[in-house]
Amino acid sequence: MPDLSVLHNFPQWEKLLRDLDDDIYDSKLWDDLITHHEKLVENHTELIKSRKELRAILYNDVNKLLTKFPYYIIYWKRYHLIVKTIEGLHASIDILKRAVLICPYSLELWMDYIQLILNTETYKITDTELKLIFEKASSKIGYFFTSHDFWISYLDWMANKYGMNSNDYIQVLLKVIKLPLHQYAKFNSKFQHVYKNFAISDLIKDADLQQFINENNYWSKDEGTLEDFIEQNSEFLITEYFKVQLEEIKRRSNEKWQYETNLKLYFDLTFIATEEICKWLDYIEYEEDYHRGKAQLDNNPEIINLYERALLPTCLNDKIWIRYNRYLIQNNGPKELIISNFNKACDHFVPIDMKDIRYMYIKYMQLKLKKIDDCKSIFMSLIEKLNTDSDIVSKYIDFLIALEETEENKLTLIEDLINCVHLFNKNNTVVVHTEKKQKVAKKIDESKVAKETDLSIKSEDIVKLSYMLNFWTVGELVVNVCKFYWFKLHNIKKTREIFMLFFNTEAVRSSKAYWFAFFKFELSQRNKKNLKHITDKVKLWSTLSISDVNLIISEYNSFALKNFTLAEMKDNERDIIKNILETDEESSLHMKHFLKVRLADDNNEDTVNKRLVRENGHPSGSSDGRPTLINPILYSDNLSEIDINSFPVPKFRNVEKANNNVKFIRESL
Amino acid sequence: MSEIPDKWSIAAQDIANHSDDFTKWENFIKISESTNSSKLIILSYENLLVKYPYLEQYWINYARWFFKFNNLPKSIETFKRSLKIIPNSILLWNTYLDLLLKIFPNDENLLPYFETARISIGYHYYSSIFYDKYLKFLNDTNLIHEYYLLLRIIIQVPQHQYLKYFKIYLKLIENADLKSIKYIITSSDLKKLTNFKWVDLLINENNFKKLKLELKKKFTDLYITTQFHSWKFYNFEKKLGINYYIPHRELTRLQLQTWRSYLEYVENLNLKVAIKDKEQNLLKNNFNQIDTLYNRCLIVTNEYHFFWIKYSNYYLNLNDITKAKSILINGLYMNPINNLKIRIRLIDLYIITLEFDNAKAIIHEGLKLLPYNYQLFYKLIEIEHFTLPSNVEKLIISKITEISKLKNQQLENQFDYLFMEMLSYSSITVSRLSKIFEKYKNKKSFNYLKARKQFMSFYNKPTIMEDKKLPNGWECEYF
Repeated sequence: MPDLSVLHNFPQWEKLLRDLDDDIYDSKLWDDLITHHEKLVENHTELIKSRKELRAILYNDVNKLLTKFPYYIIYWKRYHLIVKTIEGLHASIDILKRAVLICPYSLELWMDYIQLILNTETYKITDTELKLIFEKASSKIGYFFTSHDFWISYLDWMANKYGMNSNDYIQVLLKVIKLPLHQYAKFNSKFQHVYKNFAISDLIKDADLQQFINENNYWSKDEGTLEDFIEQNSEFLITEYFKVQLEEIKRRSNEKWQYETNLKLYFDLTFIATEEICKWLDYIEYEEDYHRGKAQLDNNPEIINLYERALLPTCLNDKIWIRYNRYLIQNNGPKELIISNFNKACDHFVPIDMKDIRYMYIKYMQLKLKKIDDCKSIFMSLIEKLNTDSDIVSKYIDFLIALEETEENKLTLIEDLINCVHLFNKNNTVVVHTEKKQKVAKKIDESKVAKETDLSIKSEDIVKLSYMLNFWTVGELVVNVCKFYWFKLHNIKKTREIFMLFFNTEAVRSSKAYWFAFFKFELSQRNKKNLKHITDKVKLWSTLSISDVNLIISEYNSFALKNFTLAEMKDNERDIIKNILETDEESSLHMKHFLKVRLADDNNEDTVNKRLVRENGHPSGSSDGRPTLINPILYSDNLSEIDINSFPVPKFRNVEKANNNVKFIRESL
Repeated sequence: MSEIPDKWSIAAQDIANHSDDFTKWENFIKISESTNSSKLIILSYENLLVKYPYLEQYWINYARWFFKFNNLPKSIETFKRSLKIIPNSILLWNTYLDLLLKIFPNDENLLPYFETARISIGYHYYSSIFYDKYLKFLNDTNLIHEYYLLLRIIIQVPQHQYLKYFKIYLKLIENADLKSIKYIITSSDLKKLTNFKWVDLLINENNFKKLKLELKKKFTDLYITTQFHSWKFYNFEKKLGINYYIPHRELTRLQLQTWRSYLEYVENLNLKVAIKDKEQNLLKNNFNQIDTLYNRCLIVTNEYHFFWIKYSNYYLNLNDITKAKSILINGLYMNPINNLKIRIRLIDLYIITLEFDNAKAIIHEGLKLLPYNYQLFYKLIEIEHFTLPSNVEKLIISKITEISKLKNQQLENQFDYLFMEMLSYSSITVSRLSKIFEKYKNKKSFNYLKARKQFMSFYNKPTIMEDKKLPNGWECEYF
């Protein structure tokens, strides 16, 4: 890490770095930073050349960007230009060399790299080395639909070095004309020019030729030997063979063109829309179908190339990664590539909250590699990183339960889970407001502690897990235990018992999973009494989000309308109406009685009412009192009917406060 | 009706074809009026006002036509009709009173009419146009005592022109004599305020001055209070834009939002914590004010279902379900039939109050125009569960059969949600559910499969047909 202290002379630079620390996904900031560097290099070339430490920081910035987002092609190109200005051409070629190593599936970078080598006479490189570079490039980007420029420069170079009638040249050309490129016709006409100079055995592999002859029934045994037949008809065979091939290429090129025209091709930091990804998936589907028809799915470089190309714009999303690895796993792809893809996706590209690719990795570890411990550690690291996400906890527990083979072991694990929740409750005592409540709480605590002296957890995995749990996720344990009893053992009584065991405890207060599961359970059991209990608890006590609470309330109302008897309906009329008011978006805030109770520290909705009155007319600001006439004349009194001389003299509240300013929050802070 | 002009018939045909095009209606009325035929005019106005009952100005024009036709009773009846629909319309009351004043100039007997008007529209922010008329009437008819009392009422109402009434009232205090002072202060207040008796005022001129000074102070406080509230209201009023109804005209988001926050503002003024128990008058006046504001709001916004719902919620909160229902019935009339929220809410309220016949009537009315609306049908099942629980299953099955006969895949998929609905009814036993799922095992729709899956997992029934979860050769959901 270079010394950043010199930067105090560059306030703009410093600021940009600071801002980027806050949001590394801000493309505008990156652009500003690199533009800043470009200007600096352009205007103060000598200064930068002479200051090694400054240069180090500058390169460090660009490297940071390109390490984080290696597919950001435009910045490789800009980096290359910066280095060119400071250190000259040769050093800048090295940058491109690095670029094609790190981001090997970019046609543009390869083209720049190769063109630069070819045009720089002073750059020492042997023909063999250059040929290797061409070969490498052709294996990475040769299948790209628009790679014609690359192939032309490759062919030109070959023609130059070996001549157009050389075997080396024709081998490359034969490779190209097999590809369904955008400009396939160009290469075909090149081929038409030269193929007459070659023997049939140079142009078509023996096996392919034989197959071609057999398929078309050109030759039968009574016409002499096959060799003779080929020799006599070589002209005809070559024309026919390549005619068929051209027809096929033409058709595919046209088909691919439909897909190619509306793809997003380049990486940037804007959010990639699902439609864009779907376009790529459609294309991939088409390509796979074609090769499936020819039974050439396994390790097909064309398909792999397409996947890699699709990843350029979509690498920050997990969909293509998942599809890519599914293809590899199902079609005998190399293990190294699969693992490397998983590592790239999980450790580098895909943001942590996209869990699917990680789950897939775990499944792969479990089913294909049988590395159970690795699965556990991936789970644990996910739980640690996404510590509010109870879905992962649930998956992990399911995974652990499934690992245990005997019923008995499973039950021990279940016991551990229950103890784990008990321990959580024990360590997280409730904040109690009033003294009276405190006494009650104490009593409960003592009785519980006496009962639960042996809250030991036997499974090491659960012990480890217990350190990671918090009030968001711990409720999930209860849900998993209950689901086990409910779905696996079909023990309704026990399921309810476990649900009820934690009904009043902190562990489930914020757990959406717990309340939804319990509600669903009692719904299926059609238990009116408990559904009411749950709904009441959720709307008055839980700390779920408003929308979650309201969902439960409306579900309860819907249940009531479908299951109450006439008498029950009569008894609960007000309750149901209050529920309607609570969940209706048209209700004014003061009609949401349960929300007010939840918002009030003392569970008394009037506390919130008072606040509403104080803040009325100016939300977020408050005024202590507004002048009020407290004995107004009753408006509905009819003047033609009343018999009085005069009305009483007006009386007031808070008249003196009429001119008080509203106090806004920022003023009171 | 022998001679109907062609242009009238054409215009009538035109609106018959485009009944939602208000410019065509305007044209139709214009043509009718140009015929000068009382029958055609009445006919066209009746049609227009049935379609758009909130058009205040058209009611007025209609009533004026009767007046022109020398049919005074009809004219008055028209006003009365319109006021039943829009009781808080300041425009209607004002023109109505103008008409009455024209016919019975300076007649004391009009006082009850003025009072009814005051109770309906007195809390309107722009009510000064009415109060001016009222005060002038009292003055002209020499109802001096009432004049004092009315003014005293007016000055406690927050409104746009609050200032001028204070000026008049302070003048009245200043110029009060021994007779008129009794219209301003009661004997008991006189004692409380100054410790005088009436006779003290007679004896000593200075006592009278002192009293007037005290009164001025009191009423200046009232002035401050009324001013405070008038200003608060003004913050909303200035953003409301129009105050009358224009058919099919969309309001801006700011206007809608302002109505909403204005309504919530006045509602909050009347929260229990803001008012002490003994201040019953304050509470009641606030109710009056809230009602006035809601009705004013609905004149402008009656095409938006949410203000009807909001108004009915207001009464639900006060536990007045009857009133809430009647508001929804009005709203139902004003909103297009495919806007189901009001209808469904009304049905719910009828079910909750166990008025199943009413609920059914509302459902069937909706089903007449939307015969395959599933939401309405679900409500029908809910009612059935109360009235004849054993019939719930039959109703669901016969609907599924009926829909499947239509051969409309989309509709069928929609109604397959009935399988989900079915799960929530205790009146269908689990074993019956099992049989129903068995019967329809060939169904493939999303809703059916979802319902069946839920059913299986909840009640542990052996699967009739194993779900095809993974494609052939897959080991897990990923590969």
